[in-house]
Amino acid sequence: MIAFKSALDFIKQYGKPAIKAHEDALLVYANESMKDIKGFIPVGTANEKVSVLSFNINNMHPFDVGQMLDAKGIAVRTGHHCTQPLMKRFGIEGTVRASFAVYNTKSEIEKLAEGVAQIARFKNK
Amino acid sequence: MSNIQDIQEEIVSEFEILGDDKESTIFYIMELGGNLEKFPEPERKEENIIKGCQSKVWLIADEEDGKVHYQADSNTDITKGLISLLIRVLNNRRPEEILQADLNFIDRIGMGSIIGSQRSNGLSAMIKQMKLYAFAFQTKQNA
Repeated sequence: MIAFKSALDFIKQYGKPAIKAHEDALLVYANESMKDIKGFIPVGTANEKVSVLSFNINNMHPFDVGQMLDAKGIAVRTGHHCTQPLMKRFGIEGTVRASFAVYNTKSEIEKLAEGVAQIARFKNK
Repeated sequence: MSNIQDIQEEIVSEFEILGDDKESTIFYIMELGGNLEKFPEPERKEENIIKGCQSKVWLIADEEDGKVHYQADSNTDITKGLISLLIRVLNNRRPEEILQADLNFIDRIGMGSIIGSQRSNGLSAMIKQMKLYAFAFQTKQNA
């Protein structure tokens, strides 16, 4: 309960519109930073979406990409994300998914993009 | 043919060169998968998938001159690398050697911290399946 109150106070302090604006900006920045990486395949590109970026790297399994990002100190989720019918529709086994929240920064997005670029070069020369 | 412990010492030496560089170690493991023999496509079926692995790992075994010969493949490069290491240690050996093998190289190279707990469980599942095959061949030999 104490932690929950602290969380609510945090949100009230910044305000939901400001938090959303920050998260949306991070998503835009992430897309811009990674769209030209050779082998980068965004998955789920709706115009209106929350601040998550699902993607695959050509010729690589998302589990491997996730493990390599983990080795760089970057935490992402991998797999079907409990959306097996959606993955089936896309014809893929899963994705790598980066989620951005109010406490993430542009610098962290840059590290993610740099990491993804390096990993992608392994199988996409 | 080198014995199981000699091969493990080679593997430990190779990983020592990489030191604490986790990224390079993972890249190296992924490259090791390239050492696997070409897996026969007709055997890429559900019944040959190892249970307990997050990734799909196909493993088959046959017996040649009283020794167990393994072939494997996976849908992820890291798992391919892991199974290729196990095959390097255990391939073309008598069933009793495989069953008695103490695969100490895994802990000595710190595999758990490199690949995490889920993949470590998968690695254990691979070892278990390889030993089960060896047990089956041993039983057949003793029949």
